[in-house]
Amino acid sequence: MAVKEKPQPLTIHVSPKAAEHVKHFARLEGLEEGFGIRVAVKGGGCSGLTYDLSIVKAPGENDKVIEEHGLRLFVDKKSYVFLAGTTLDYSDGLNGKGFVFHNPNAKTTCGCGTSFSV
Amino acid sequence: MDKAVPMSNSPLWQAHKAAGALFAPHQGRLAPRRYGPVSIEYQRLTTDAGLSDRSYVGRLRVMGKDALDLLNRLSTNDLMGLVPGSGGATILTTNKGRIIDRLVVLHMNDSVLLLTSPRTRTEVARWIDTYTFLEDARVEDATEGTAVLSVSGPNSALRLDTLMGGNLEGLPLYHWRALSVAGMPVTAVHTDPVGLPGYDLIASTEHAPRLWEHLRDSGIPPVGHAALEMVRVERGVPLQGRELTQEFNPLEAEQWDAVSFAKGCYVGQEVVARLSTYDKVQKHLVLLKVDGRGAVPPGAVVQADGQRVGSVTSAACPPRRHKTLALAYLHRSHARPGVAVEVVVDGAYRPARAARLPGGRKNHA
Repeated sequence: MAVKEKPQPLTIHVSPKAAEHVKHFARLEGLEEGFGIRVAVKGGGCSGLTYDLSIVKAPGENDKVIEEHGLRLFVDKKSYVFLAGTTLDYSDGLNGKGFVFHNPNAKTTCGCGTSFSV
Repeated sequence: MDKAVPMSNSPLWQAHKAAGALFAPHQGRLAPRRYGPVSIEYQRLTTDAGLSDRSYVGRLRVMGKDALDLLNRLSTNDLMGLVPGSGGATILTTNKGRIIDRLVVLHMNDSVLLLTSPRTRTEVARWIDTYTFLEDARVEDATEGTAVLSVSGPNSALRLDTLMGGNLEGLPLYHWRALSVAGMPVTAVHTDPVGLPGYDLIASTEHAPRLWEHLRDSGIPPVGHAALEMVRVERGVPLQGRELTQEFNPLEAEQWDAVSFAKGCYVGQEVVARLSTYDKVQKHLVLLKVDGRGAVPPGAVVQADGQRVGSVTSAACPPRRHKTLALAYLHRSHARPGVAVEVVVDGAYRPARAARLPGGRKNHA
C-alpha cells in the first residue's frame, strides 16, 4: 500500500546560488554574522505588487525567520501571505536577471517581470 | 438605485431646511436638490456664484513619511513634486488600468489629504491599506468631524476674496491655503467639481453652520444638486459611478490631466501606457447634443446606421438650451465632433450629434 506523503508546510526557499550571492553582498557591506535578507512585498508595481530585497542586521519583532543554505530570511507577516511557496533564485550569466522569484501564487506578471498580482 | 442615506446627521441639515431646501437622493445621500427654481440656481452658478454643501465628499488622511510615495505607486499622476500647500488630481487604478476613483491629493503640512467621491471613500481606504506593507503610511477617515462648503461659479474668487481679504488670489487649481473667515479656521482648496472655477472650504462641524450663514449673508445664494448636475453635464465633467467606473480606463474617460506618462511604475501602468503608445483606446467619452428636451436615462443605447455604437451615462436639460445634453461613451469610429447618431429612449430614436468634451480636463494633443 502506498504511503501518503505528509504535505510539506508552505515556506519560502532560497536556492544555493541566491544564498551565495546574498552572502557576497553582505561581505561587501562588512557584515559577517547575524545578518539576514529581508524578503518583502511592496504595493504598487504595474501588476499591483513587487518584491523587495534588502540585507539587514537583524529580524524585526514580528518577522518570520527561515534558514536555508546558511542564510537567514526575514519575512513580515503580511508579505508572507503572498510569498509562501516562493523560491528566491539567482539568474546570472550574460543575459542574467539577477535575483528572481519563482512564486506559485502569482497569477499575472507585468511585461518586465518585476511586478505581479495574486 | 442605491438606498439613500439621510443627510440628517450633516451639520448643515437645519440650515438647508431653513433655506427651503427640497431633498432628493444624490450620490448615495439625501441632499438638497434645490432651494428655489432650478433655472435661477443654474443661472446664478453660470454667471455669478453659488453655495453648496459638499460634506459628503470623502476625506481620507494618509499619514507617515511614505504616504506620498505609496500613493504615487498606486495612481496615475506624478505626485512626488507636491509640496505643502500644493495638490493635484490622480486616478486610482486597478492592475488592469480600470478606474476606481479620481482623487484630489492635497499635500498638507503633516499628512496627505485625499478628497474622494462620496461612495468610494471606504473602498479607497481599504485599497490603500491592502497595498501597504512595510511603508510608514496609514489611512484615517477624516470625513466625520469636518464639513465642506463649496462656492462655485465664475465670480467665486471675487466673492470669496472680498470675504477673505484677497487671500485666495493666484491660488492654482488643487492648491490650498489655511485661512480665517470671521474668526473660523478654514482650509480653502481651489477645485472644479462641476467644471466651473470654485473653492471647497473645509471647516469643523462646529463652525459649519455659522460659516454657511456668513457666506449666505455675503450674498452667495445656495444651489442644489439639480443645477449642479446640469452644469456638470454641460461642462463634460465625469462623475464616479457614472463615467468613472471600473468598466473604463482613464484615457477613455479623457482624464489626461491626471495621467503622467513619464513617471515610473504604478498599479495598471503597463496597460495605460500601451493604450496610449499603440493608439488602442477603443471608446471615448463625448458630449452628445440630443434633439428634444425629454429625459434621457443613463444606459440609453446610442446607435448609428442601426448598429450600437455606445451608451449614455448622464444627461441633463439646462434651461437656456433647446436640446438635451448627454455624456456618452462612443466607439472611436463615431466619437468625432459632428458625427450624427441616434439615442434610443422608450423605443423612440432621437437624433443627436457628438461633440468634444468641453472644459480643461482634456489636455492632450
